[in-house]
Amino acid sequence: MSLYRKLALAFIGPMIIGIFIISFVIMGERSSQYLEEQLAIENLNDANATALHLNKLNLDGIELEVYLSAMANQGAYRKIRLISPEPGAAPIFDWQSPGITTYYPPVLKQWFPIESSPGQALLQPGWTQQGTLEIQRHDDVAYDELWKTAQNMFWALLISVALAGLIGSVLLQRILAPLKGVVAQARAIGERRFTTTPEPSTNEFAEVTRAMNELARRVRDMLEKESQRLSRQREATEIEPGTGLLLRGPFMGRLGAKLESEDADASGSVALIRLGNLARLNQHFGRQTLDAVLTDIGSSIKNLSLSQPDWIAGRLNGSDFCLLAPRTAEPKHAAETLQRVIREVLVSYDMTEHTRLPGACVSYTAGETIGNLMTALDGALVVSDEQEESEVIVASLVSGSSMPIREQASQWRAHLLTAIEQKQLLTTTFPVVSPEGTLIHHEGMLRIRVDGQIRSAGEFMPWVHRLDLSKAIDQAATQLALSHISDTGDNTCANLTSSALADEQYRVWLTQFLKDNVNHANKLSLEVGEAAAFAQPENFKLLVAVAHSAGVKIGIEHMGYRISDIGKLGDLGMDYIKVDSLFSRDLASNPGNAALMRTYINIAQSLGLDCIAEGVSNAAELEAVLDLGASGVCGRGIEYPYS
Amino acid sequence: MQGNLTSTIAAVMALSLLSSAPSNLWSMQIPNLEAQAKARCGPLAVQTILSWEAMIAKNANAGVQTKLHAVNDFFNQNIDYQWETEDDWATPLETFCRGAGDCEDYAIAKYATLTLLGVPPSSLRLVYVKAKRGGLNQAHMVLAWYETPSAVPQIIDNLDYMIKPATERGDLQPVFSFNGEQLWVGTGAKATNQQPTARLTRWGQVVEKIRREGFTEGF
Repeated sequence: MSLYRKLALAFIGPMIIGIFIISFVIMGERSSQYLEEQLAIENLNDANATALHLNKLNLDGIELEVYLSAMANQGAYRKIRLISPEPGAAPIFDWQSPGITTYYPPVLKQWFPIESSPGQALLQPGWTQQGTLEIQRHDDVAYDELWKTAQNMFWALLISVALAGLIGSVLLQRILAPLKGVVAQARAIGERRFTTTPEPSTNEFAEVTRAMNELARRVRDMLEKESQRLSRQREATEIEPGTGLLLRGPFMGRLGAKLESEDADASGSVALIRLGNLARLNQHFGRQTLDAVLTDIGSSIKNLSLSQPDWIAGRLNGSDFCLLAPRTAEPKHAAETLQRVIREVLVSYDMTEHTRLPGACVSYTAGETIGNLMTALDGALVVSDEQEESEVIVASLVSGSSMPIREQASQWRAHLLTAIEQKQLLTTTFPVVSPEGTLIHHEGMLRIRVDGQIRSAGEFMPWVHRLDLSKAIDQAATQLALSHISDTGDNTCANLTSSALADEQYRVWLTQFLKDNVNHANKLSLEVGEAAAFAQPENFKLLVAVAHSAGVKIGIEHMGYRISDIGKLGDLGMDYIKVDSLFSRDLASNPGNAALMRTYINIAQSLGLDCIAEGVSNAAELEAVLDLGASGVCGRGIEYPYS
Repeated sequence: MQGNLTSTIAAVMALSLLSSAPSNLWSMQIPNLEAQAKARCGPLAVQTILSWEAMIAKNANAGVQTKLHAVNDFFNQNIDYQWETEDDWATPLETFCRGAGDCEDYAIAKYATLTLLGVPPSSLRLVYVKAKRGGLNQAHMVLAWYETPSAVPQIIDNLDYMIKPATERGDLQPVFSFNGEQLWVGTGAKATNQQPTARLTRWGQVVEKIRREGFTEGF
């Protein structure tokens, strides 16, 4: 019951009843007393006037009886009596009203008795006493009046209370308006969205808001601290100190993860730019200058990620700078961007004459190997170096499709549209289990059947992304997860593309879809990638709202790349996070990965979330992950039922 | 003299205790009447009241006829007749204060004194009459006493000092009669000063004043 209704019941209800009862009693008492007096006066006047008249008329017995009968029958009297002057004798005339039709409830008579005294006058034509005339008017009319007044009063009171209630509720709503904000914030915290709101002017509400803001601030501080700590740790283990770019090992790790991924990142471009003649530059400009140049190059490349947050840059060795641009279908563009950025730094140091910037690039697709890619890039770089202008050379892969991009695109469009239309989409599920061995959910990976062959998400998701078919794919993934739930009764999760966040139509569709499948909705989970969630936090929250209203859980997957965005986790409202498989690798021997995993697990515990480690592939990793306190694991090494 | 009176009344009271109904015992005491008269009126009025009290004491145990004559004579002799002195009907005390009164004042004072003496109010009637005096008709009020309800009443008047049966009063033509009993009809315990009919009628107002002054019998 809402506060408004409670207040209304607490105040207005008793008030209207109380006022009515008090008014009714006072009114009844006063009216009955007044009517009693008025009737008594009228009775007395009637008796005297009649007696005066009868004295003058000096009627005999029969005439007197006729006179009084006529008076009784024509008038509105309760009682007319002529009492004999002889004590103890029977009345000479005695008439009582048989009663009239009344409109009041009989109980009124008991509550407010009107005891109007009859009027008396002495009848004495001449000197002989004829008797005492007693006249009493009807009081039923008075009760009718009393009843009508009570009814009128009730309605008037009801209307005035209704009006007062209306005005009161408007005032009350105004007074309680800040409460909405407080409740919204409290609810947000309940959903693990630690937001701060401005303090309302009402003291009591302000105090609550202040406390919640303090909590939100603390959570944010905690996340910031974790983020900074992790950054420092990462710098020590993964970052090349001269440029601030990734070392070769970590860069290759990320490249490998992309090549194995099940989403649109599974295809993209890699660019390689070599800063030639490094030894000569060192001789000519001195070591200090060269260090400054390298630092500038590093920060310029890092600046690229401001506009392209998905891009990952590394310094593979002294002279080779490498850029991983997932989803980018034009490798040459990425490479030339990298080349331009480096050249700009060299120009500012006037070094262009002393060095060359050969470049190579290559497109990758899912299932490609790092070895193949790097071999191809090296080959292309040699070609580029031989040219005068250091033009970027696009390497071709031995295993890659020889088909031009445009043809591949139209072929994939046909495949995808056919699959969507003919419902040739299916999912392969992988279990996500808790340390106790219970199932958290099945993670559904999308597959399509093309010419009888099953193709993995890594193969077609990049095309889904490029061909703008995400909406149909997201809907299909959601539907397939739900069918899996209804088939198995197990919790199931669907991976959504990054477009699902930006697409309002998907949310609208999801709202209706969840309404139609309310029985299974509470077993459904939806996941989006870290990059998408951090890029569109507001849309992510809208999706969370839709999901939570139907009991659906929301998770963020493939976490670990965007350390600087950890602070945003505090108000996104997700139910769990999944740390990317890259960071589950070699936990025992890789302190950087272990630190990262531990940080995310800590954060998740602080926020009350589940933290799931992805890509756990062997017993050693599993043990290490569980030692760190992960609340769930998945990957090649994980089976359900647990073994 | 006052002391004498008190002892007389005390004696009367003792007598009444033995002989008559106890209700009369108290009804004949009007406490403070003298004090009221002293405060409100002149010494003459106090004198009148003292002799009135003496008359009451003397006739407390007399027969009804004696009482009627004593009371009639007392007022006819001690109060000067005035033609329609004032609008207000006067209480006995007010009449004593003025030493004068009109016909209503006589009738009221006599009614009050007789009921005080134990004459049942039901046998007394204040009667509006049309009086013929020297060829002139005038509105007048007399007190009538009925020995029995159907008897011919005795007329106690201030125009004719003699108490005569109504049949011998051809000069009077009755119009309307009343006494103190109708005021409190049907109200039982509610017979208080708050009674609206008592407050609103002229007769009621006088009765209320009379009761306040100490007369309770017959009102």
